[in-house]
Amino acid sequence: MERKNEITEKQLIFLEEFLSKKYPNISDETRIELIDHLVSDFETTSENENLSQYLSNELEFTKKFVLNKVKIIESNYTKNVWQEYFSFFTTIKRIPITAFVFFIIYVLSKNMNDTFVILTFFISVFGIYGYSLYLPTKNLSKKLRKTPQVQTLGKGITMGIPYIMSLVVIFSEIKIILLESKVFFSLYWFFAFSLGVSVIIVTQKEKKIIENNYKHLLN
Amino acid sequence: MGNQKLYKGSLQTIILKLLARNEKMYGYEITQRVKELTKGELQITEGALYPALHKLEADGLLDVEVAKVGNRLRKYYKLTESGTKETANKLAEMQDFLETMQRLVNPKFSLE
Repeated sequence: MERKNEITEKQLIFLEEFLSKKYPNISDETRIELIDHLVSDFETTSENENLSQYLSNELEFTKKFVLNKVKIIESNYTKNVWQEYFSFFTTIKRIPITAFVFFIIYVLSKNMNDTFVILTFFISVFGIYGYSLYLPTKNLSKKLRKTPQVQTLGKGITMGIPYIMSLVVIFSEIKIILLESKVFFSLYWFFAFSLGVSVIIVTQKEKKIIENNYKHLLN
Repeated sequence: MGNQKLYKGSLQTIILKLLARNEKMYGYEITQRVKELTKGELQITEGALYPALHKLEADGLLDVEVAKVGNRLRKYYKLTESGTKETANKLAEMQDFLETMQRLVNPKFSLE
């Protein structure tokens, strides 16, 4: 690649500071890629050496670059949670456990009085919700906690569903309708609980990957 | 410059093929290599390239590596094992597509 000019040390520091101010929470990996792209493009295409002018022309790209990365991380996380959830019904090894959990939930719903059922439901689902918020940052360095990869964990629509489902049961009259059929309530409970468990499993897996990637990337 | 829309659906295949040919590449290098190979006929914009690269990475088809180059760090992409398999699948799909298109735009009529 033919270079029209070469970035100076001073300009590189300026670029790094500019990105840190504009996007303080981007991951090191995203920052490294963005800086390298901007510098390569600046060196190849800019006739003059005015970096500020070049950066103002590239503002839209920089914004899209950062936002797209976050969007991909979020959609990938959501996809992984649903895949994990469906594996409870499709993986041979997991089917007996799935059936057993549903059986326990059904027995509890059928044999306990309604107040106790609601309380157990709330503790089990809301407990998972609370844990899913705590788990991503548990034993993690401060620097990693701020990255979008970690910020996405335990959040989004997949954990929002069990959260809303538990609140609906506690604070609305829907519980009366739900409790009319013990099978239906068991299915409702099982769905909220198992989706929450999927979030926990995926969060744990993703956390390991993020930690490994960072060790490997920045070694 | 040709119709960029025709190339749009092939972006992932192009990236995978380039990475199969070169052990590792960085984003800007990919855009320049495509421009060079197609003599400017196809220009991959950075706005299209990076989301595609990040998607392939998130799908586990690409692995990344960071190396120090001059006064800065550079993120390189390389194929994973499943990325290599997927490249073969995508290229076979592309071959089928090109043959079908060829039959459609340039049919050989029998003179019987």
